[in-house]
Amino acid sequence: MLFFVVFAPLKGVLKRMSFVVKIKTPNMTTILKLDDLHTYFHVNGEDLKAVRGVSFMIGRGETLGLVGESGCGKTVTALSLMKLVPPPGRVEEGEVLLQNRDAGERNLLLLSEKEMRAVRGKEMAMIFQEPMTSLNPVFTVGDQVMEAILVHEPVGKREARSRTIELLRAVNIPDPETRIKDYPHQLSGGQRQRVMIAMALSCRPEVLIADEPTTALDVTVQARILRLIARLRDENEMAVLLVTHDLGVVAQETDRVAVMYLGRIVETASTEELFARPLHPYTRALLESVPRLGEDKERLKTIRGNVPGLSHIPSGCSFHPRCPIAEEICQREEPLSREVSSGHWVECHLCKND
Amino acid sequence: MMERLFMSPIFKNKMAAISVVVIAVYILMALLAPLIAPYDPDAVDLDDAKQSPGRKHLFGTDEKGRDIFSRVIYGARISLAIGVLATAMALFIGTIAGLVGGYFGGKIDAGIQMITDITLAFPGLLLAIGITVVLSPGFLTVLIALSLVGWASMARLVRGEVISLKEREYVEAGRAGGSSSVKILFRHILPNCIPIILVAASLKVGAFILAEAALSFLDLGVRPPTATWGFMISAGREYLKTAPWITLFPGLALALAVFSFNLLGDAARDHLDPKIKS
Repeated sequence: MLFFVVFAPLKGVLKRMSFVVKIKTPNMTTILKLDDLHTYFHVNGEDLKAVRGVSFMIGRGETLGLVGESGCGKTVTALSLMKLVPPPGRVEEGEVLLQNRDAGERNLLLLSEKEMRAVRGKEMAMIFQEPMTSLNPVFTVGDQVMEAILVHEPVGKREARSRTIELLRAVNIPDPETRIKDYPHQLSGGQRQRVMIAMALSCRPEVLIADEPTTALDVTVQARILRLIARLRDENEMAVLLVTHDLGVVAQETDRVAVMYLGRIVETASTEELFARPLHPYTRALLESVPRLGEDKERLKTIRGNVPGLSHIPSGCSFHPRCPIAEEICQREEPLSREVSSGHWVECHLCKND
Repeated sequence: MMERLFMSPIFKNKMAAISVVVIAVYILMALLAPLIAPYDPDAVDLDDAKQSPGRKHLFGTDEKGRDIFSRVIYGARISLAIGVLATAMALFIGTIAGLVGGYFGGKIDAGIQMITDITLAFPGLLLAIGITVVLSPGFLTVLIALSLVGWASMARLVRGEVISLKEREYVEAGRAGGSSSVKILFRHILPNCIPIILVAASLKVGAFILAEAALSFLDLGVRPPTATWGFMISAGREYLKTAPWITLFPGLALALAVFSFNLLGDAARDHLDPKIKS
């Protein structure tokens, strides 16, 4: 208790300081900023804390990778940004600040559902994991892309149609004039994901949230889709939040990475920095568990133990039961996020910049 | 055009093809009744009563000398009209209740579910009889009674489908694209419910035709002397030994109609339900 009284204000100060530094580091304008986001699920009178104080920012033209194991809160974070957390989940605390072309910076969490609908798809769009089921089977793909345009923009059908053809061309769908008459089952998985991307980009959003966009696709298609997203990001100066558990994708496609564990971001750094000098024991363990080409190993290295359930979040540093270097303090005190080198933040009592 | 119609998958199933033809004949019969019927269905001719089927009266005459063939044809009008209209009304109420309950969940759903359960707890026909007794019997009453009984199973069916459909990614994608709930309901969820609604509806028509006949049989249906199959069967049963044709022909007409609609429903289900189609 005493600890809390002493450290709570300090934590706030540190957090405020972190923004000053974080905005300065990348020389680009921040579009989306998350501050201390908490999303809880109320189940049987208990709060399951899926997201416990997540903060990050993304700049124009930047890709931020959000990595972590299944169940660490990546997708809930992404859905919280869109205010689409399914009940009984609720965003309890925090700010989601989005730069608007006209209205300036707005906290999305304070917007009404109606205002939020105007944001979704127009300012912030999302693509999902399962391209096979992301399209409505009873409408043609052209119809669905057109619909995405017509929801937000006061254009006629003819204009929407010609823009749909343009969009499908932009996502490399061959022969878009005839393909718009196809139904989803006539397309391959990769093509469907391209159509989803076309829909997401239909109103030129500022931010694209890609929640495991390539997990369901095979590797060659995956590379092409990721390259497509990167190209469209550069052309439209979008900010991209790439949610994934695939470290290979992270290494290739992101500018910065945020590593998530049990609802908190434990380490943030530029991609090169993170892969060259991972500091948090969890990040290190994650990187070590990736098999390398040419390596002659019988077993892959694993992280001991399992991810604890959300109803039993460990005290102190939530990683301490699985941490190879944990000490007594880790059990007792929650670590604060520290900047160990420019733009490299880590939430650990023990790791130093070595 | 006709060739394409007969090439459509439903005609691959022979029984289904037969049922479609039979239903088409019934519909034509109902629509063109005044042209087809050789006699006025309500014309009483006591001198001609209880004539056995023959050249003059194809299906014979009843105890009041009315031509049974003509009455069966006119009876098709009532049966089909009630079957189709009651299905449409039950479908309308049930679909809306199921969509709203399934989609919004929570207290709204609990409320709708409770009403559905109460409705389903009554034996259907008994509830329909109760409603017709409270209102005065007649065409509209039968229609109301049957739709008030039939909507509940529709609602339950649609609700189940909606609950599964609303978790689909295209629904989430629609929301992430900024669509409103109403838009998602009518654009993404309802169109994907249509197959099961169609199947349930085609089975319901048969069931409602049978229920209408039952109500008429109990003298709770459309008022006599209007020709209805149920009432004809009921009136003829006193003469079952001496003039069986009075009950036989409306009975056959009823059985064939119900049978055809059920066959059609089964075929539609086989065709539309991917779980069975494999």
